[in-house]
Amino acid sequence: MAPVRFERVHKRFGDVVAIHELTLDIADGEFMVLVGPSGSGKTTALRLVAGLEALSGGHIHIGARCVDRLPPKRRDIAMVFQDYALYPQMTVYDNLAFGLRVAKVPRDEIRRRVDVAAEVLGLGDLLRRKPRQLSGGQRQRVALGRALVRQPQAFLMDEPLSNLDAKLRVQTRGEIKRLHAEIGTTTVYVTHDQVEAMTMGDRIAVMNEGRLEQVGDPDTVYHQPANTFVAAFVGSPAMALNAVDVVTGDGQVTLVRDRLRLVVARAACDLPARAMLGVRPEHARLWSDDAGLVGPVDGQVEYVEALGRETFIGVAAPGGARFVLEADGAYRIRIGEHVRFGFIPGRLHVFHPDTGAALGRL
Amino acid sequence: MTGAIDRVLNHALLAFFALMALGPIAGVVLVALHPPDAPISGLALPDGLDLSSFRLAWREGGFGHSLQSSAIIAGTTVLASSVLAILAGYAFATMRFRGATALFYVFLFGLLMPFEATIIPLYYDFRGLGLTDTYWAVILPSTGLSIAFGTFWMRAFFLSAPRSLVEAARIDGASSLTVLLRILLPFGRPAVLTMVLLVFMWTWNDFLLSLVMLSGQNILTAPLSLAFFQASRETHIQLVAAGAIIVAAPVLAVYLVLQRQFIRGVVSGSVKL
Repeated sequence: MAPVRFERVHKRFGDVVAIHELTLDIADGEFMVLVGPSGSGKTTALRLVAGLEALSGGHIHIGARCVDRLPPKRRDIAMVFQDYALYPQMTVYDNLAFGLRVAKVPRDEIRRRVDVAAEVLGLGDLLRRKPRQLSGGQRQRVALGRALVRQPQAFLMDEPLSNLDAKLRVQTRGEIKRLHAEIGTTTVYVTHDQVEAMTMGDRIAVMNEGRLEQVGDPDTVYHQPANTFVAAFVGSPAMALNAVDVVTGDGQVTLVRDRLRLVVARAACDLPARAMLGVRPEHARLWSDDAGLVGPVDGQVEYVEALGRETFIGVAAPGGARFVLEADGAYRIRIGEHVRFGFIPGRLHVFHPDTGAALGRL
Repeated sequence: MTGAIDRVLNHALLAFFALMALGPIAGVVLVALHPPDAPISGLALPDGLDLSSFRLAWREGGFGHSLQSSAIIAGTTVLASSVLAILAGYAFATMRFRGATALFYVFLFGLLMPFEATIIPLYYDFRGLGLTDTYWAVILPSTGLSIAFGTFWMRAFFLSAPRSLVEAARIDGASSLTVLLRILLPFGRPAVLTMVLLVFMWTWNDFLLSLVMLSGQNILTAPLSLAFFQASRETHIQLVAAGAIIVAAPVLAVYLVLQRQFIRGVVSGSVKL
């Protein structure tokens, strides 16, 4: 086990900057999730740690060693690939043993380690099979096992669940977390799925266009997004973002957009004359006089997503502002109907209109 | 209804072309099954399974000797060009090195260059080296010729192999050679066997090169001996037919053995592996 450290890491492919000055410390034994949309540089960052890509600038440390110029095999890491990359002509046993054989580990020790991994992952009955005779979930576990037997300093996982169906994904998510809790090896996990990120990571690093937008524990990233990108990317349905004018008055602030007027208690911070207002669906509710909501706002229903336990209602408000409300699962409303709603005070996020940086909550 | 008509039409068309392709071959086989002294005109059915023409052709044409020479030449060529083409294709596909693109074009040029254009200079080169009329005079040019195709072919295969497979092996600690021998080659057996078959076929069937390089006194390849045999027994059509079948048989045998792999190799580009 070892910490992994990115120090001003830079990566270019020709003229394209894939990673821009990434500095990130991953603690010993930590489960770090790199999350972001396609092309955000998260997979490239992982491949740089693995040594499958060469750095354009900066340094990467694994433990006390600077690994900038080490080939993959000398970095003492194991990687789980999105397509599993199992050796098709080898049995499951040989797949698990391959790395150990190459490293000239004694035969008895190989057998012992493979047996342990097979036991942990429930692969005992499959050891004589070839990868093509396995289901997707089983292949995935073999891929995990191949990483496990190596007993590396760090696990690198590149979207390992994206080829599984929804149910198996949830199950395997839990399994990977359980494994991590048991063996405690530092893990860098790449995914584009923010639910995976939220549920698995000790900390989450949100990336966008090669830059690190925010790093923190899931709670912080969700409740205190550093900017509009993180706010919109993390959370489903996404946070609604609308440009508003800010009128600061006596002890209170009024957010204005056309006929939309929201009066809230004055913030501790200074606000510019214009700002981006961000509201998560769970903080936008149907109006009720005694709930102490900020509002009311009148709008028209644009779409309804009834998920059973809750219902999300997309609403067009005055001035073209759009919000998503969360209502009880039993609540019924139709597209085009009028709806009155309000916001939970203290849960309105305000961002800078140009930089997108978080300014505070109202 | 249209489905049924479609099917009938399709089958008729396929049957027609199959007949076009197989007819002449059937003709040769039928002719060869006649006894050596029987008069033959057109597509005549033999009276029975008479192999005496084969026996006579084998004895008179000296095919035993020439088949052996062809086997030595084709075998060596296949072995040498396969090893070299696999290594070169692997390097072109997986390694980055200075001048890789330019070098690859050189290989491509070897593929595009009409072989006939090189054969006269080749002859003088080999004569200067005192290599004409030896096995090497055919093996070396054939190998050179096959490497161009083989490198191109193997590079395409290595490029199509999942990159993550190679990367996983490298992370597992495998050297470049281990990746090639333990991961990619077992995985790419159809591609390799297809190359082996094609090179074997081309080398075996080569006529021009051996005609130029070999005087016919020491070494004779099978197609060459067939040509000499044909010249001497022009009127004995059943003997010539038997000789042709004898010469073609090894290629057919190799093809039949490798057939399934061959088809998989040829279609591997279009089908997900």
